[in-house]
Amino acid sequence: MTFAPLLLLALAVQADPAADEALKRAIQLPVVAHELRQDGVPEQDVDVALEAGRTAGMGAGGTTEVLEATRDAGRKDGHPENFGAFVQARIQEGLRGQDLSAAIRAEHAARKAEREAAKAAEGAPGASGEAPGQARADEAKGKADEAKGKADEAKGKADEAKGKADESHGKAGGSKGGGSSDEKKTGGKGGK
Amino acid sequence: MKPASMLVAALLLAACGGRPVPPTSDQVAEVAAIASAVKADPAKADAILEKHGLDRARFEALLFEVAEDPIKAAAYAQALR
Repeated sequence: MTFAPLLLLALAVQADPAADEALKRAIQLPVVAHELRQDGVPEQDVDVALEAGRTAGMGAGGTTEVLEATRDAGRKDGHPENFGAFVQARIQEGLRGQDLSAAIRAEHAARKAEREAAKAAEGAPGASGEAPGQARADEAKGKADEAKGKADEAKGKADEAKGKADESHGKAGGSKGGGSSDEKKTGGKGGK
Repeated sequence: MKPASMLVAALLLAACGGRPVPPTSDQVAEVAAIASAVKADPAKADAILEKHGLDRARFEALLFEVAEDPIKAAAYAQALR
């Protein structure tokens, strides 16, 4: 039959290096989830991040990328509390790929700087203000502000991406617009 | 189809609400073996998956199921090493 060569041709055309790369990354999903748990990330945070990736249709490859960014940032700056909610919120806002990874790194750095600022402030002497502890507190606060700026920048990108998504959704589906912007406030930076 | 492959296929046939039934520990070993084969030769991924009664979407669904369970994810990571 003449179908055999056609079938072979179809299989050859189907070869997609990007898809293969995504599949290779997808294979790492359970491994990276395991590593996060071993690093002490609470089970709930891992579950929330996995579920967010799954329900957003990011695929196992895209979700692995998120978990890898979280793992690497956590190993560098420490794993912040309630991080699953942050990841979930950014995914719901439409952040993906490198932008999402950048937002995760920035948030880890911001939380670390906040922790350091709080710690330095605790060590600073009360009234005199001239002691080195105060200088350390100021320095840490400066770092916290800088990291927060980066996190806000990433969030700005997310808002922009969501705006575009809403716009195209509006064009496609008539006047009824996108989701509620209240959701954007979920999770995230916690109290100052 | 090999018996082991039928195991994975059975999991998928039992899918409910778009999610496959979570694999058992033995099946996790099989998922890891498939993953190793794909990792070794990504260009033949589709053929390898097909041999086990899977396609990419179904395989990814299984990977999510394994990742969500701490014990299974640990076993998978160990097997993949």
